[in-house]
Amino acid sequence: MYYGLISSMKKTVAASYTARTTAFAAATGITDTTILGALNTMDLSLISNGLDTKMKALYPFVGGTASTHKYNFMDARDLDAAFRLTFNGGWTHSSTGALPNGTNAYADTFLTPSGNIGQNDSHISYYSRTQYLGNGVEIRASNSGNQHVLDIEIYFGGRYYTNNSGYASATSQTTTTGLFTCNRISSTQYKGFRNTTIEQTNNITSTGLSNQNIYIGAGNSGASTASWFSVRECAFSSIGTGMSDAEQTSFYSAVQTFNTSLSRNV
Amino acid sequence: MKLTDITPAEWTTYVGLLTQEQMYSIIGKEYTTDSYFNPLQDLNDNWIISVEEMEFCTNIEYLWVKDLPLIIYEPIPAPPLS
Repeated sequence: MYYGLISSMKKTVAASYTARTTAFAAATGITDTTILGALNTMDLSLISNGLDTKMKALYPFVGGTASTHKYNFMDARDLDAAFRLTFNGGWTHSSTGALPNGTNAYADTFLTPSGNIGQNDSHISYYSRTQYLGNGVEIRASNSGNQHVLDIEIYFGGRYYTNNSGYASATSQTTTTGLFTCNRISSTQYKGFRNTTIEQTNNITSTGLSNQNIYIGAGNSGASTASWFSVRECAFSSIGTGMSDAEQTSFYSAVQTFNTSLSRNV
Repeated sequence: MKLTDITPAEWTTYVGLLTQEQMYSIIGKEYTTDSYFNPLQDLNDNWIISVEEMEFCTNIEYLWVKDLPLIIYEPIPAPPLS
């Protein structure tokens, strides 16, 4: 009788988290139910909105250490092939996220746009908790000639969003906190969002895909060299296929609810 | 100046000065779990690491980085973005 009762209880507990949340918990060793609950709610929200299949890599930056921040929520294996991050240089890891030092810090995703995302169907995102208008690249890969750039950055006070093309013009930026997302779902246009607000609609035709790894906290300048180091703390980042405006709204809701649950929303 | 002489607010101002031999000995090595040294050259061709790498180093093979002399960081200008 007791065996049956305990077995039933185990099934109830196990069923309370999605398979991804369970796998992520096992990989990271995180047992904090606030964190696991926030992850699980986010995952359920992504699933219900059809967004989970758009995420190739999703870094929730929870647990407060490099050893927990490195994992890709979508594939929580400790492998380059699973796009597990490698932290290089000076990072400060805490419960609020991962803070690059602006001197030599970057994280290698091992995810190259070529072969992993579509030229006309891609997104990158970065949740910044730091208000700072100085230069710095949040997430970037390009080819060596900068014809195929995928990035989100601040340069000379302007916000750039670029998606598998050459650069567009920057837009003046006064706020550097929030969820910044660059979405392309068309060969001739892509959009840059802060949260759910469209900051840029760029009618620029895609040119190709970078064959370099995407870096977070700095930019891959096209020869596996990190440059343009950022000081903006990251509390979420993702790479995947592109999202429509409506999907961006659902995506932001899921991410903001997640960070609010962890008391680190901006 | 040493690591113990500065406050966290000054971490972005200073960097640790390496010899070329020291640079080769730590490049790509783990300074604490899942975090790797990334030595760079500054504007004056000095090899440097960040204060964070010095402060957070727990790898017993490289604890000597905590005693590196500190210099003011003068970065090489980043290449143009476009």
